[in-house]
Amino acid sequence: MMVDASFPLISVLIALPILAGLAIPLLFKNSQKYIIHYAVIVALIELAITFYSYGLILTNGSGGEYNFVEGPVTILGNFGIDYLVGMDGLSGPLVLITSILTLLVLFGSRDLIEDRKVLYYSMIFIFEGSIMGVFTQLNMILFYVFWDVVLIPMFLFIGIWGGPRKRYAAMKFFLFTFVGSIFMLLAFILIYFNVTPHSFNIPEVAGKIPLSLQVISSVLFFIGFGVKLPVVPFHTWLPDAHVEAPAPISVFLAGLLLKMGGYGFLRFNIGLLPEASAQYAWIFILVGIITMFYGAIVAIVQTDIKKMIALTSVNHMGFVMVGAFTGTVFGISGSIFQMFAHAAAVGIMFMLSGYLHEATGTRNITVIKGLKFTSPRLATLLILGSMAAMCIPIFSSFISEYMVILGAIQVNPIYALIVAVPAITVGYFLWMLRRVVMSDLKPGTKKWDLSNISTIALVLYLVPLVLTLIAPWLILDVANPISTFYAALVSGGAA
Amino acid sequence: MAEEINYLIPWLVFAVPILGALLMPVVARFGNRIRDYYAISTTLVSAILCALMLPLAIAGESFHHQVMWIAALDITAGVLADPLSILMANIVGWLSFSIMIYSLGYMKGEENMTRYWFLMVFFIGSMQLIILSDNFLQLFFGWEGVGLCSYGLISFWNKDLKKDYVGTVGEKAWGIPLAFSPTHAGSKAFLMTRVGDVSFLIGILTLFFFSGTFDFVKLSESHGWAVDLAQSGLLIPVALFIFGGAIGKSAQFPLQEWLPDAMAGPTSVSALIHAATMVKAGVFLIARIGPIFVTAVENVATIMPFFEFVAWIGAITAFLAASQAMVSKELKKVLAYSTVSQIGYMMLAFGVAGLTSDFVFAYTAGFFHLTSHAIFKAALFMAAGAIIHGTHTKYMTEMGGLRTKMRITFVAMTIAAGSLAGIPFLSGFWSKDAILASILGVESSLTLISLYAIASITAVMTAFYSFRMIGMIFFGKPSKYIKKMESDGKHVHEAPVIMYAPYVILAILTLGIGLTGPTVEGFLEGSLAHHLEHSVHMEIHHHEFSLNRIAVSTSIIAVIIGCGSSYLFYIGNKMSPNQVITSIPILSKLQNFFENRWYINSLYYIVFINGSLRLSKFTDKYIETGTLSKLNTVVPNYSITSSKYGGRFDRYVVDGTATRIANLNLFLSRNIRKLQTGIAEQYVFVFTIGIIALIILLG
Repeated sequence: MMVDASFPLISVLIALPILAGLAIPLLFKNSQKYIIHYAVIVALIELAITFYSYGLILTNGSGGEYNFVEGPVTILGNFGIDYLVGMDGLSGPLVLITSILTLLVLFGSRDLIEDRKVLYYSMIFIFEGSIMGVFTQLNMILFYVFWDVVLIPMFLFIGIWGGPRKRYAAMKFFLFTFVGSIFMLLAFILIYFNVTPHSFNIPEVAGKIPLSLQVISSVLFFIGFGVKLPVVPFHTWLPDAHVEAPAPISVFLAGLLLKMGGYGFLRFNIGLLPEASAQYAWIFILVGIITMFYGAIVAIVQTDIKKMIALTSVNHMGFVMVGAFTGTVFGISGSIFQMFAHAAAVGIMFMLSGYLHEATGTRNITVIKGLKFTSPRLATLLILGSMAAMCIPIFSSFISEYMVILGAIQVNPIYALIVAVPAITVGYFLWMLRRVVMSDLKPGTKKWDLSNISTIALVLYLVPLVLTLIAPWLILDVANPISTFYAALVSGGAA
Repeated sequence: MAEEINYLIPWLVFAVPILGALLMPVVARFGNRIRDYYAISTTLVSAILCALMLPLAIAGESFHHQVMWIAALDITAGVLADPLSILMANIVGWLSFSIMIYSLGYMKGEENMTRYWFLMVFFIGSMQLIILSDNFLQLFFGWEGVGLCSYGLISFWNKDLKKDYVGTVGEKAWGIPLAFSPTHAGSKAFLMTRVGDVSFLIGILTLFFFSGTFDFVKLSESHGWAVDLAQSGLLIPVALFIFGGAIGKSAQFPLQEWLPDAMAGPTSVSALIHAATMVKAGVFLIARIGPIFVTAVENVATIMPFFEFVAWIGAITAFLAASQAMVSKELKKVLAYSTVSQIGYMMLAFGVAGLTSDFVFAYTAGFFHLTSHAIFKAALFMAAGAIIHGTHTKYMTEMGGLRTKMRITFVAMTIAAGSLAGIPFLSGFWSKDAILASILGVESSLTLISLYAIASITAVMTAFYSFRMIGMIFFGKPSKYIKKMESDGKHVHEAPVIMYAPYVILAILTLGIGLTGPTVEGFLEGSLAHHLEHSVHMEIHHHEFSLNRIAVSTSIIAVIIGCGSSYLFYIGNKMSPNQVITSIPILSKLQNFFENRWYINSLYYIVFINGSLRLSKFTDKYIETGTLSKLNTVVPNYSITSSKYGGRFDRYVVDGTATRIANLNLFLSRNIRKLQTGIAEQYVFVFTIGIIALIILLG
């Protein structure tokens, strides 16, 4: 039983932030005093709409199909470009975390961003709106448009507000992801011409793609989404981009932008190309496993705390990849859950690294010492954030990773060895904590700590993690129907 | 008539401390005194709730209550209060409470007490969660919770001052230091137990995949899963993976190395975590799953290798750790090694249970030893804390002659040490004797003889190091260190009553269980057997209590040899241990080997820590920043150069795409394009190679 709202809910979700963002240069031309208030109010409205829509899907248990569908409204009929949006159990949790993170990023930006606020905040909302578009568009061409529009604010974020090597990092980021998206577009076009009737709409082409085309498209998608996720060896843009990006933008980057890759794998590789995904699952799983281990191993010796966290997200995104291609209910639900949980967990870590840099002028793990004594609040949050990343069962990231592992075991018990990855993660996080938090302090170091508001804003990152640990059904009841559907597709493809 | 309890009681046993701990920072605002009493009262409430469940255990009944947890996956949460968990919960609850009281005195004047209480109380709650859980998943939450608190408590003195180090700074084996700072020790403990946890997770997830449930009751009621597992050859691996978790938590060989260094934490922590409770979690886990596996398989022989493995790990650990306890100079380390060794003994018993026809007898022996050990080891640790507190040194070589200065501690500690040594009519005598007797029931004679021999030799070593410790602390002449202290005007005196009361009570309890040993054992056996027979549906052989003559004489001989030799060296001072050791070269070699922890610790550091650092550095240097960024420059340079000579095709392909991207750059930023035009080709080229490789692979 599909749910519908009485108004074009998804269009509002997409248009509200974009319009609000475009209005900022007009409204705050002269005085920027209330810009943050305005931004928070917009983000709160967006969050309220998200809660409403997510709640409807949750209570109706309609995660297995598209809800709030609008369209298809033909835009360019000759080219198959229709406006068609919908929200299912895959997009739901991602839309939810997008709204939550945007609000939290605003709180962080308040402390850490001083320059060119007008452009910054308007870009924040354009970013949010286009991410919403990515997660809800069901027409492949418009999906591609939103996918690339996302790059523009991110390019500017890194290029303008970034660190010393911002130009290099911004360019590298842009080229990698843009080139990746061309392959994706190529696959869309190939699909369009090979299904009858020709169409770009996902619901219309599903199940009609011949196997040979599935194989070719899955290679093209692998590049397109693999760059975003990212998988080794397409990941080299990520550490550079993170190191240069300001902290709140790193939250967007790791929390939302990477999830576009995971979303793409699930929506297109699993949803549209289930036969190819079933037959060559082992290749994708292998790449995912290599990604996990590679990220974890390289992270051990990093001295820049931010680069370490960036590599940790490479490692965690490997879980998403593995979970998706297990083609099991546990694996797919687990990877959706993992995307949700990782966004919050990595978000707090990046914000903390930002505050750390702001206060100490460095992010070097070997230089910062005795954080426990200088700044107990930040130290406590750093320990908690690390625990979320270490997949300790006081946060829901534990459940998501264990579900992926369970899914992998169902495919082949050998894959159980991937649980060694969290063990390595524990190793380097503890080492980082020992050096940064626990060590004794040089005498005469000044005390500093987070303000009350920043502390609350940071704790808010942990709330979804604790909440979904106690009540995992908040995510799983939405994600499981679509996972069941996809798992059936994949097992049908394997037969 | 079945006993009834309120369904909330088992839930509250762990909910009260866990929620109580979470409120600790709030309560701390009302003042330190209120916070201290609040912390203690949460554990008291929890202990009383445990006691309320006792009638159920006495009747041998069980109580099971479930609620839905993850409906989508049909996973429930629940509590299982059967004799095993109720008895265990009482041991943990009451010992924790006594240690909490002791903490009041021991930790007096320390900073950061809110953190201390938070971790202690949360720890107790997590431990009770492990004990009362009715399924693996929920148990795993508690499992990680205790690991986490243990990490926090071991590194409690996290300034890493030299005085807080465990081990002697400067001592090395194979170039690896043998001294550890508190945070190092904490991380080490966490990481090593995590290795066990990983194995545990693999085990329970595979088990879940085959059985579709984490629930202990469902697992023991249905048998299909064990047949399926056995058919795919995974039954023994799964059982061993689960046992891996117990190996980590209970510091058994080969993951025993973290526990001695965990002594870097406050002594009250060592008493609670590393003697009485957390390390027993592994033993408890085996006690929990042993009967499930036995009833689930159609033929007990199919699961035998698992129990044999458990028994051997236990025996090896018992011997290995006892040998190190004999040479240790630090008081707390003797106790730590002895804990590892005694837990090995318990594992041995639970392993033997599956190898004999009389499961319950060995099972009870293991549980009885767990009980008596928990009590006397907690007493020993608390007394040791009082001594270290009084003398300000951790080395036994710097003590000596303290029996006149700390009379109460002397008496209490000697009783507890006597129990550890296995002196007749103390609790340890009966429980150790029961284990020895149960080994005699093993069906394979080769296994019987070798296990029995190791257990007996370990008993000798245990008796030896127990009284070596008592002798070095309380007998002989005061050391130079003590004399200097006295001449400086600092006198060694008895601990305050709030500190000695807990361990005196536990010493009396040790004595009490010792005097009524057979009755206690009979009670435990009756209660556990009734439950296993009626709820788990095991076949039970009922028999009357009788002392096994071989076992009794073995343990008495062991005590005589062990205590006698330590009496000669350390109490009567008839011979000087150093002279004997230096005059016999093999002894000094052995001493060196034991002191260097059989070089196992060093081996781990060299292989795993240094090894993974090297791997990481290598990957970072040659792959991440080496090859991958080299590809960014070398490949395009090469391709550009070759395209100059190679004709139009290259130029068309490479530059054509680059121009497209360059145009977009122009649109975005003229400046950046100038800097970066070279890169476009590079990536296009790399991607083209990648895609060709993939197509070949997939095709």
